[in-house]
Parts: sequence; structure tokens; C-alpha cells
Amino acid sequence: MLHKSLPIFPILIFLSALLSACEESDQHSSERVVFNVSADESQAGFSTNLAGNIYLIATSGNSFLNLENTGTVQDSLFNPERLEITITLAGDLIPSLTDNPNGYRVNTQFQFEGGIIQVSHTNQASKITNPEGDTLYAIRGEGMVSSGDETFKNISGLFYEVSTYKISPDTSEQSSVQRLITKIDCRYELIIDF
Amino acid sequence: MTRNRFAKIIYCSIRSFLPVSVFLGFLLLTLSSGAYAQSFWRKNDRNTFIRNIQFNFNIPSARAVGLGGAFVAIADDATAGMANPAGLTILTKPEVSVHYKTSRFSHTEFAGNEENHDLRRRFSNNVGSQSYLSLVYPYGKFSFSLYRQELINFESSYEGEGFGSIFDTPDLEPDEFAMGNKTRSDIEVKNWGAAFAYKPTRYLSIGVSSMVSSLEFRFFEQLFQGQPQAQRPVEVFSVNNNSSDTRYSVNLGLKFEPHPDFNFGAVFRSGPRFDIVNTIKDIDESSGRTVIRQADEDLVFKVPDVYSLGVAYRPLDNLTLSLDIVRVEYSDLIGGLDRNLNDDDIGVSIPEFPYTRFVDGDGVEDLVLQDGTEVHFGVEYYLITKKWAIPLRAGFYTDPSHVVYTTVENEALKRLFPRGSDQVHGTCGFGFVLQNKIQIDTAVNFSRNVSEFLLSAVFRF
Repeated sequence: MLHKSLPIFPILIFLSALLSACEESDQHSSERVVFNVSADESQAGFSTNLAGNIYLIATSGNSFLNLENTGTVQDSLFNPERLEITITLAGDLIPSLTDNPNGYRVNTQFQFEGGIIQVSHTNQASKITNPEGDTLYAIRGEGMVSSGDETFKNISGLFYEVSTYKISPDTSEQSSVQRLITKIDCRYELIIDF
Repeated sequence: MTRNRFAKIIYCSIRSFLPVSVFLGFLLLTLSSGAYAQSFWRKNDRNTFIRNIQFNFNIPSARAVGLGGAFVAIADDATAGMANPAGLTILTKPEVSVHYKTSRFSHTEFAGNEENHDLRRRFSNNVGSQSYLSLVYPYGKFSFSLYRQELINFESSYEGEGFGSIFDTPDLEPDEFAMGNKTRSDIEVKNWGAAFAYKPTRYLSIGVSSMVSSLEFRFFEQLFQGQPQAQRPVEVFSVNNNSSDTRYSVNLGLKFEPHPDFNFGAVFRSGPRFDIVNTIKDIDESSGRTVIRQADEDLVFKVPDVYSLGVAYRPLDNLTLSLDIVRVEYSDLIGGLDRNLNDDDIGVSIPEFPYTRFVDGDGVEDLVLQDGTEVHFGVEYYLITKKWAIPLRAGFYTDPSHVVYTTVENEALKRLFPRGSDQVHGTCGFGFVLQNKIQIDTAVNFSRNVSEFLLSAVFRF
């Protein structure tokens, strides 16, 4: 009797397996925003300023490059309009970037059409010479989104940066010995959870 | 700088795999100059969860474990759907089998204090569950099986107050040593499988098993300023993972029987690839107000693929010897993770935008999890009486170390990610067979870090 009723067991177990297969997996969704910035002192809107132990770099929308090819989500909220980088220095500019083994502290603020996103992160820098003989600084950073406003008021997320800085002596009369960041080429990636 | 912040930098420097010399340099700088406390979060935090995960992929029946896990060439019972689907063709009557397993997993963690920096504590966790349930239905040269298997059932938990001792330096004060951590892991992977086997010739059988694999991944790690047992421990950092996912995987099996006393078997078992999410939380009070930063990070948890080859020889009617060689691709577990540590990287010039990049200085992966080749050997002897047939089994298998370790020459990192040691498991078991209709088996598996007890029942119709 049991032998004759056995086919019902495979059917029941198979149905259980099907139900298990139909389980919704707990997937995480996020927006990935990537954009490039290239700016130097010859451009309008590019500015650098040293105030105490804070070094400020700012540049405006015309410095953002190739937005359609960098993986930026197709949402006008993420159209970049302005970039502000605030570096906390432990001393002079170059030693602060290169001689601190744990990197240096940076706050980066992105102004988009949709509002502002601020990121608190740690960067590492390494001095290198390119084939043309120029001295450059390779920059790498990572961190977490600190805060936002307007559309981005309640966001969280991760941040990655790969950049190249060119640092040159300041030739202005006010501080001839001070070095300044005269060119930045940056690739930023934000992975944002709303 | 607050003490909380200070402790967090210690902890997160460890978590970020920073070389201790680098860390101590920073420590001296911050203490002497009152410099800012840097943001601690680093991408290598994604690797912390993998440090605590260790498990084996034994065949879940008491008979197989009693044989030292050497079962690929035998595979002649209802567990064949998982062990070697081709073995199902040997069955001539329907079978139902139920298997139960309890496991005890032990591990050692740092718990130093001011007097003894190297102090360690041993922690153990027990899990017990129904590990396998199957039904086999033979039909001529074909055979079918449906089964439910608990592929992974792993729990680990520990807490301590001596985490700072990992630095083994006299510069740390009692509070730094007393930094508390609390870690919980609870990982389950269940397979629902349907197996099909076919015997095209007298000597050859082939089988395939398709599985729906479901993952329940729970991982929680907190860092406290002070002891976790305190009434109001101050949490400063946590990683939380509470993920579920469902994927497909497959087993392929082959069994070759050139002689009634000689069997050969081969199996490939693919491991499912699951998506999981870590939520990282940082509580920062360095500015005088509490700032909580939180971020989710997508990760991959890949169960290792397994390749097995086996041979079984029966010199006497009631004596069987079995040998398996099993290759477990443990490296799959960290295949989806970034195995490079930042701190030995160097900057280089590249022609593409943004014109520079960081690359690994020595080209050697900084975190390694090696694949393992296991040797399984077992003996089964049937003691025959008028009424009973009593199988006695014994075996052993080698278990190469499969923990994540670091190749970076740094004492603190080596303490956090030490090389494990190879182990040898001993197994034994017995059972009884009643009129070839009911078979009950038990087995034990014991080694330095793992001990298991298994109970199996097979009903033939």
C-alpha cells in the first residue's frame, strides 16, 4: 500500500522546492553615480585658498567631463554644478598629503541640480613622476556620505575617489614660498542609498 | 580627542589591516600633537565577516562520515542524490532516509590584558539539526531522488574586552586593552534538490542533481568602548548583515564498476553564488556632538565548488575499503572580495584619465584563502549474525587549513589573520540492518576544532 502511494511524496517535495525557489531574495538597491572633473588655474571658477590648517579647492560646472560616458545615472538630479574640496592639513601642504601614513582627512561637497551631498573621507597620496618628467600626486580616497540636503536629505552611501593633483610653487607676491594645488584630475564614484 | 574616538581608531585601523608600525606612528602623532581624528572607514572592512567563517562540506549521512567521508565510489544509499547522483542506479527499491547532525565548532580569539598581551580565549558553539532528508524512487535503468540538505549550518559567537592587545605594545593604556567587541555569525544554506540517474551500460552510471539553494546570512559585529558586559557600553562601530538569497546549483556524478569488487566514482558539486549586504555604522563623537554615518555595501558570498574522485574495493564480501580525493575550492569564498590591502600600494603614472593610480606594490595578494585537497579513507566491516547485520566503520580524512590569512609582513596583521593549521579528523561509527528494510547508523567525527555526532535512518520499501 505504501509502495503504491509513494509517487505522492515526490510531488509534495517537488512543490516545496518550487515554493522555496519562488522566495524573494532580499536584494539591496542603490544608485551609482560616477563623474570626472578636470580643472586647473587657467579656468574661470577654479580657485584654491589656504586658511589656517584648511586648504580649499573649488571649481564649477564647466570642469565636469564626459558625463555621458562615465556611468552616471541618467537623472538630471545628479547633474554636477559645483565641487568643493576641504583638506585638513597637519602642517605644510605636501607633507600633509604624503607623509601621513594613515592618509589625510578631506570633506568633499558636490552640488547637483537636486541638492548638495557632503562626504567625509580619508585620502592617501603618493608622489610620482610621469614619463614627461612632471611631478604629480596620485590620490586615492574612500569614505561614507555624511549628509545631504533637499532631494538628498536622507541619503547614506559609500564614496570612492581616484585623482591626480599637480602642485606648483605659488608665484604670487603675497606668499612666494607657499605651494598650491594648480591642477586636479579626479574621478568620483558615489554609491547612494535613498 | 575623546577616548571613544581613540579606541575606534585602534579598532578600525585593525579592521582596515593597517600595519602596526603605521598605526603606532599615527598614534604618537595624535597623542603628541592633538591632531584630528581621521575618518576610519576603509573599503577593506568588507572583509571582516569572512574572517570568522569556517566550515566543511562533508556528506551528511552517518554511514559516509563513519567511513571518513570516503563515499563517492560507494554512494549506494538514499544520500547518493547529494554524494554522487550516479550511485542512485544501484538502488532497486524505493528508499526514504532521515539524517540528524550535531556539531561543535571551537575557535580561539585574542583576549589579552596588561599582564599578558598574548592571552587568548577559546570559544565554542553547538548546532544541531536535521541535516538531510531524501526519497529515492528507482525505475528500471533510471532512478529519481528528491532531497533536502543542510549544506551549511554554522554558528559562531564571542565577546571580549581585550581586543586592543592585538597590538602587543606597552603604549596602550588599560582602556585601550579593555576595548570590547561582540561578534555573532549564523549562516545557513539549504538545498532542495531533484536528482536523476541513468545506467546506460552494465558498468557505467551517470547522474545529475539540480538544486535550489537558499541562504540565511546573519552577521553582527559591534565595537564598544569598555566592556560589552557593562550596563551601558558605548557602541562606536558596527557591521550588520542580515541577508537572504536564493540561487541554483548543480551536482554531476559518474560511477564506473568494471568489476563487482571495484567501484570508481567522480563528482562535481557547484557552489551557489549569493548576494549579501553589509551595513556599516560609524558613531563619531569627536566634534562634541554625536554623528552617525551609515552605509550599505553589496558583497558576494560564494560557496566553494567541490571536485571528488573515489575508489572502493571489496576484498571480502563483508569488508569494503574506500578512498576519496576531494578538491575544495575554498578560495571561492573570497573570490568576490577585494583582497588587496591599501597600505603596501604605490602610486603609478598611467596614460588614462585621471593619469595616476595606486597598484599593489609587490603584486602578491595580501589576503589569501587557499584551496584544499583532502584525502578521505574508510573501512566498513559487516558483522553478520542470524538476525542482524551490524556494520562497523572507521576512517580518517585530512583537512587542510582553510582560513583567510595575510601575506603582509606585519605582526598585528598576522595576529588578526594568522595562518591556520592543518588537521586530521578521525571518524568511526556503527549501525544495524534489520531484514534489509531498516538501517540505523551513527557516527562521530572529531578533530581539534570540530566534533560531530550523526544519526541516520534509512527505510526501504
